[in-house]
Amino acid sequence: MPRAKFQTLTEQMFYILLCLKEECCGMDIMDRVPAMTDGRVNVGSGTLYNLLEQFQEAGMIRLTKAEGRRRSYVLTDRGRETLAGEYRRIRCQMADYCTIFGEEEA
Amino acid sequence: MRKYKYLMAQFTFYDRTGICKLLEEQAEKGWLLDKVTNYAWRLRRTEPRKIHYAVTYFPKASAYDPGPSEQQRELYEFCAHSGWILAGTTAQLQVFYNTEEDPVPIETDPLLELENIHRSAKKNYLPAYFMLLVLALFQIAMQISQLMISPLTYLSAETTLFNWLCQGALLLMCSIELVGYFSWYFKAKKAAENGEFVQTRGFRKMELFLLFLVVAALIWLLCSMKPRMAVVMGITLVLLFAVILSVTGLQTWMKRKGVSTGTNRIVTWVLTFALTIAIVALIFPVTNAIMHLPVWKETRQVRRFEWNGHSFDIYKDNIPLRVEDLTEATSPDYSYEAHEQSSPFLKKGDYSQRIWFSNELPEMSYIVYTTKIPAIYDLCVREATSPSDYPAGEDEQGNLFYDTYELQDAAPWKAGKAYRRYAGKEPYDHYVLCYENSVVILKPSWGLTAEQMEIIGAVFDQ
Repeated sequence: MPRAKFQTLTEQMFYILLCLKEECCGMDIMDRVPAMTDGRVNVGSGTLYNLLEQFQEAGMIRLTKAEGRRRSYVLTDRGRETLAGEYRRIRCQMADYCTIFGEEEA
Repeated sequence: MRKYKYLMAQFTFYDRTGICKLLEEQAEKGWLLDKVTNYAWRLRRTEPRKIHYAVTYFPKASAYDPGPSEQQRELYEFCAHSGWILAGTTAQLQVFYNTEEDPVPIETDPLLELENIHRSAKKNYLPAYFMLLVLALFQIAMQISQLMISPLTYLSAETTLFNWLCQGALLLMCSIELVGYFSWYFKAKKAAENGEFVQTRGFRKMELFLLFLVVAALIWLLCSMKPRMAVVMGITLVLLFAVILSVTGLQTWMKRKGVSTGTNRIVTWVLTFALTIAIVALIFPVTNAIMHLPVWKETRQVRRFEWNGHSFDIYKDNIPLRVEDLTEATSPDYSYEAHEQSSPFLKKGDYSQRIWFSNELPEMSYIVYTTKIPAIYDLCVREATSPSDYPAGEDEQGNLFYDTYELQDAAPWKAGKAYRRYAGKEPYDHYVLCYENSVVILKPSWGLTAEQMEIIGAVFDQ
């Protein structure tokens, strides 16, 4: 069944929003995500461009600055809420894992 | 050593896998994509190297844009930041290359990529192929209707096979593109839910082959046609290409001059519409004028009578059987006309010998169908002997009666079978003669003798 948009976040969405806790531009995000995840997560330039546009349309981020084509964004309350929701979901998953396998194995 | 080479732009729009593979192979041979145009993709000679290509889709872009929008430029900057350099664009399709060994792909979310491809495809690619499919089906329906109405004339027309080839190629191309796209789209949609990309498959080689086939058939047709028809067809093709070149030329020129997307689109569409109307309006008088040029006429007019404001032409074409071969009648005023057409299925020869302003001298007309495919023979006989749809008369009791064809003794004609036309019980001098590969519909203006039938048989039984 198709996933409702932004009800759950992919890893790439999650880290882009995480980067936007502080104001930053697209190119900064492209550098920050692999740095933050030790290279585990990379966001393609096309994917980033589209996600920023969709996040903005969904009111999850807002434009703060536009210097030529260098545009900066920051997380909105709605974006923060979505991110927190995703965090809670991941924590629930962790908790369920621990219930089944125990703390040690986790 | 040449600096550039060109690839025909016959790429399947969504075939990002095939496009990248082809361009990467070219890069290894020392050719780098340099420019994308409507008709061809230009590659520039460089040193052979292993580079990566990526195709991405920008749904908001249009073929009428004067240049990349600010949003597109922003995307290009993002791409450049991760080493992807723009090689060329055509409408929504954007091609990038990257010289790094293991670059981060431009698209890392399959669902987002799929949404972009689908939104882009819905703008031009899918509507264009749907329209072409409808056109191909309409043309095929027209061909079938012509076949049903007048099968022998249709099958003997020079253009029949070419029409079927063109319409068949168009139908096949549209079908494989549309079926290919939707089967890939639904598969890719399912896979994207699990975060997976699905490779695409294009039909470039098949479509280039179909194009080659159509061009080869066109050349064959032009060479085998009567000169006047070939000239008419040649002029039609030249006009058609002139329209396409003018429209795309103007569209490109407006883009270079920075004309806005909306204006460019309107001007291009208006020009296309106006030129199409102009061609349709022009082609008839041009064709008519050419058809009537004496130099192209297959029947040579020898003399012309003027009587009561009407013109009557005398021709001296070669016909296989003349009244003089059967009777003593001769006259310098006899007009001999031959109209022949031939296809790989059937040859039709329509011949007549007539005389104006004389009721005394005999006349004759006949059609000879020569089959080139045995399967058509029975159809020819059936068509030649089929009764008329209209009643031939009314009998004494007021019942309508129709023309019928009744079997006769074929021996005098040296034919396999011979039929004679009857209106009720009244016989006409109208015969259908069946020979090994040919069917003759003969209409003399007098009652034939056995000796004359034998002469006729000797002419057609070959």
